[in-house]
Parts: sequence; C-alpha cells; structure tokens
Amino acid sequence: MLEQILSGMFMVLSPENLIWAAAGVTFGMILGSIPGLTDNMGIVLFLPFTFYLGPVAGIAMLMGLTKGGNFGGSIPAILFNIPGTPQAMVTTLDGYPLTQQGKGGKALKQALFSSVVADAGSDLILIFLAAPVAMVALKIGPPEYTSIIFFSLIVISVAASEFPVRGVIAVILGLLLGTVGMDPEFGSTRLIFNTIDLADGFHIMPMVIGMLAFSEVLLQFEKELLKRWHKKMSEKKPGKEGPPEPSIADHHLSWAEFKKTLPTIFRSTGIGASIGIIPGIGTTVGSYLSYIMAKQRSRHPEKFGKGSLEGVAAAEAGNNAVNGPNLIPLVTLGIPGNLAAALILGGFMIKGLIPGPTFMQTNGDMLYALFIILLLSNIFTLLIGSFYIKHVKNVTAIPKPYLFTGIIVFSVIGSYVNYASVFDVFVMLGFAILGYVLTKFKINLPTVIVAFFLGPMLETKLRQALKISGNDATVFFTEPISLGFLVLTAVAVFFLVRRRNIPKG
Amino acid sequence: MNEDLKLGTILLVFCCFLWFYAIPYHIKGFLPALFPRSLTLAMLIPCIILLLSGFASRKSAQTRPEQKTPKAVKLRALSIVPIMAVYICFIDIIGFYVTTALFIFIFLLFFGARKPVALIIFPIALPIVVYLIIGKTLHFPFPQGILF
Repeated sequence: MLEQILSGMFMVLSPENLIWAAAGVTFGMILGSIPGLTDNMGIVLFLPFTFYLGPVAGIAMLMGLTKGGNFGGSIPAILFNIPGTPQAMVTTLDGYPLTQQGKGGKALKQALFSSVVADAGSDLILIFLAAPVAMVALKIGPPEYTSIIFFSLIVISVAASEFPVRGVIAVILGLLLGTVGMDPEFGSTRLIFNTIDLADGFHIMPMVIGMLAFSEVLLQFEKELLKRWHKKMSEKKPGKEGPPEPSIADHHLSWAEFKKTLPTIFRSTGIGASIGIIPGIGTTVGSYLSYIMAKQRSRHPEKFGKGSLEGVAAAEAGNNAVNGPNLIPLVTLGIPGNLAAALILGGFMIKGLIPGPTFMQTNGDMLYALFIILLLSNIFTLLIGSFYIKHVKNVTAIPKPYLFTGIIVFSVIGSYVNYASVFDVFVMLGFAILGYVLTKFKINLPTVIVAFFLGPMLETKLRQALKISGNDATVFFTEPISLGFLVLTAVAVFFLVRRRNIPKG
Repeated sequence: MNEDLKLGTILLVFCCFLWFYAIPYHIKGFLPALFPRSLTLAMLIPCIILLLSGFASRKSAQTRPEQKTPKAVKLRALSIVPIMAVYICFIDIIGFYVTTALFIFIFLLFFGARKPVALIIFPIALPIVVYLIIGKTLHFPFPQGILF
C-alpha cells in the first residue's frame, strides 16, 4: 500500500499535472461564478479536452474543475441571490443578506474557507474509507451489485427531484437511453434505427454537453427574452441591465470570526460526509441538514437568515463535505453517486480506466494519485479563490450574448473532437432540445445522466445474477447483502418522502 | 391541458412507440429486447399516475390562471436550434474558421449584442483562440472544409 501511495505521489508531483489541476480550479471557479450557469458546466465543457492530456493530468484537471466549480457556485448565491444549484439555495439564506449589508467579501471568504476545510476533511474520509470498502466490494456478486445499483437509482430518483414521480421518469428515461447501441451480451444492435453512428450507443460527451450546457443556453436565453418582454409589457422606463450591483466592500474576515464558526464547520463536515456515502442523496440534503443543525446549536439562532456567518459556514461546509465520500461508491464499485461523480466516471472511461472493486488492486497507484490530487486541489482552491474573490465582479459582468456564444462554440467543438464526428454535434443538439423539454416538465437532467451511466451496468449485473441463479428472481431476496440493500431502499424512500413534508428552515 | 396531463400523454405515446414499433422492429431476439421492454412497462406506472393526477387537478387548474412563458418568447429562444443545425451542416463543408466566425456574428446579433467594435472583433478573435488552443496546442482534430 505504501508503495502505491508513493508511486501515486510521484505520478502527481510533476509541474504539468499541477498546472492542469490549477487550471481546472480556475476554469471551474470562473464558470461556476457566472450567474445563471451551473457549477457542472465547467466540467462538461472541459471534459472532452482532457482526452489529450495524460491520465493523471486529465484527472487532475477534472478534479480541479469540480473543486473550483463547487466554490464558484456559491459566488452568485452570495452576491446576486441567484442559486445556480439547489444546495446553493441554503447559502443564499445568509450570504445575500451579508452582501446587502456591504459584507459580501466577508461572506465569500467565509464560504471559501468553510468549503476548503470541509472538502479537505471529506477527502480524508474518502481516503481512509476507500480501502476497507473496496475489500468488501471484492466479495460482492451480481445479485448484490444489482440491488446496490437499484438502491442508488431509486434514492437518486426520489432525492434529486422535486417530484418523486418525475424522478422515476428521469431514471427510466436514462436507462432507456443507455440501451441504445450494442447489446452488452449478444453484440446485436438495439434501437439504432439503421444509423451506423449509433452502433456504440450515444457517446458520453455530446450527450452531457447537449443536456447540461447547450440546453442551459436555450433556457437562459429564454429567460433573458422573457425579462425583455416583461419590461416591454410593463411600459416602464428601462433600468440598468443585469443583476443589482453587489456590495463586497467589507472583505475582512478576522481569525476570531472564523474561529467562532469552526465548530459549525466540523459538525457540518460530519453531517455532509455521512450523507455523501449514500449514493444520490447528495449536497442539497447535506447543506439543509447542516444549516438546520447549526441553527439549533447556535447561541444566536435569531441571526440565521439575516446574515449569519455561521449560516454561510454550515451551508457551504455541509454541501462540500458530501463530495469526498460521494466518490466512495465510484472508486470502489464503479457506481457514480451524483452527477459530478458520473462526469468523473466519464473522464475515467475516456482514459480507458474503469473504476470498480478491482480498481484498487489493478490501478492502486492511479487511485492514490487521484486522492493526492483531491487534497492538492483544495490548496489551489484556497489560493486561487482568495485572489479571485477580489476580481469576481469583473467576471460576473460578462455580457450574456458573448457568454452564450462562447458556450455554443465550445459545445460544438467539445462534441466534435473525441470522434471527429459531425454526427456527434447533431446528437449534442438533439440532447439540448431534449434537455430543454425535460426541464420544462421539471424532470431532473442530472438524474437522467446518472441513470444513463448506470443502465448498462444494471442490465449486465441483472443478467449475470439471473444466469447464476438459474433464472430464479428470488436470489435478490435470499442473498443477505442484496436483501439488506432492498430493505435500505424502502427505508430511504420512506424517509426521503417524509422529509418533503417537513417545513424547511 | 395541464402539465401532468401533457407529460402523461407524451409518455404514453412514447411507450406505445417503443412497445409496438421501436422494440419489435429494431431489436432482434427476445433476450436483447427484455430489458428495454421491462423499462417501457415500468415507464407506464409514472405515466398512469401523471394522467390520473392530471385529470384530477384539471378542474382546479382551469380556474387558476397559470403564469406561462409567452409562445413568441419560446419560439424566439428555440429558433437557435435551426440556426445551429445550419451551422453544423456548413462547418464540415466550408470549414471551421469561416463558418464559426460567420455564425458567431449571427449568434451575437441574435442574442442582442449591438456594439459594432465587439461585433467585429469577437467573431474574428474567438475562433482563432479556440483553434490555437484546441487545434494547435492540444492537437485535436478540427472539421476540415473547402475553406479554412
């Protein structure tokens, strides 16, 4: 093991890898901080270009994008009250009131430090838990695997969507999209409608770029048009374009102020990390639970919602602490626990690396390289974030027409480059339309993508399980681990549905 | 028609399409078709729930005026799609640089940019930057057309 750790360290510590990790953090932070864009857009737009980089450099850039995007996503929440992601909604509760009080800079620093501490803590949890979980995962057979994937899909469908029925639709749709292409066992083509380009199924890049990046351009542009239309209808004098000017005059966050929030950060890290281990529950629950707990434990609960630094710390630490443990199912079982993990899986697949139970044995050095990158990326986030906070106003002021056009050009090139295929660019456009329509019907796009990734694995393991048992479906109930996960599925669904009925805050 | 009814109907049509056309005619063999067929059947469950809830809430939805995006706004936003389709077709015929520069100009106008200097510089500069970084530095393939 020590040999693998050292080998991983040597793999990472080259200037090229460090530069790509820092570049990833920077791009992720910039894209995450632009109001209206999601933090995953950075990963989606840059993912195809990691193909050229070496395995470690590519993964370093991906990890950097994830970390940078995580923090970047909190910037519009604090400065403009625009939560780019659901979990950032909790950050707006205290972040935006602080901005209104002229303490936007202080709130951003609190968010940055809380994110980095919680993220680093959660990465350590990942590092310590990955090996034991991988040992257990080696003993898991197809019936157990099937039940774990089933558990992940059901929990994702209920937890990630506002409406559970639509969550189920998202999962089934993702699974159906995953059946297009070659049958995993018989090698015959399925649902390709005589289109040879689809023989391998939908390529990952055009699909995710279309659904997450281009569809977002369509939706954001529609929002802009709607704003103009309302302005025209109300016949008011046109005001100043863009979001209100944020006030970040008060930059200073003293050590005493930060020290007071440390217990909240550590507690929220614990809450977020515990939730992160379960695939699909994710950052939203992590930040909400951390915030509620921080409010209950605080000496000044009355300040929550009015500009409390503790509130910002709880929300940011809670959602960032989910990230490390969320990679445990990915690196040990090959099951992505959320969209970011699914995109990272895509990055691994581009490099020809398939995470799973044997990954630690066959690619142990690569795995430890990944862990070291995760820790280093936190340092980059801290350094680059501290600098970026001071200049963020210039970036968030980029006019939308130039931003949208840039995303379109990158979407086209990103879809094209991996296979040099114009067909893939059309696929990207098709998925953009699908993403637009699904969003209109409140169907969660990340759930569709995670299900798309898990579909082929579910089908393969399901077939293997039935083959082993002689087509006896009771095998899923007679194997203890499998039965345990099915029971856990029912329990998780019960609690998640019940949680919706509890008033938040 | 409320949203649940609309989505339920679309899904029902989609399930029928899969069950009666796509799966029988585009998947050969019983076993390869088993998983897609099971998923189609599974999709019917949320579909029926949506249809039932859609019918149940139809009355209340009729009395409550919904805040909807005007059709003209939706159409204008979606008109990027045919422009994109033309762009993608031309990119392989004419070449990356010329097509992209031309379409960046069109997209900028379409999105509402009006500054003349930016309208000239951005379409010229962006494809060059993209080409230099992705094509020359990272050595990725670029669409080759009759022009550059």
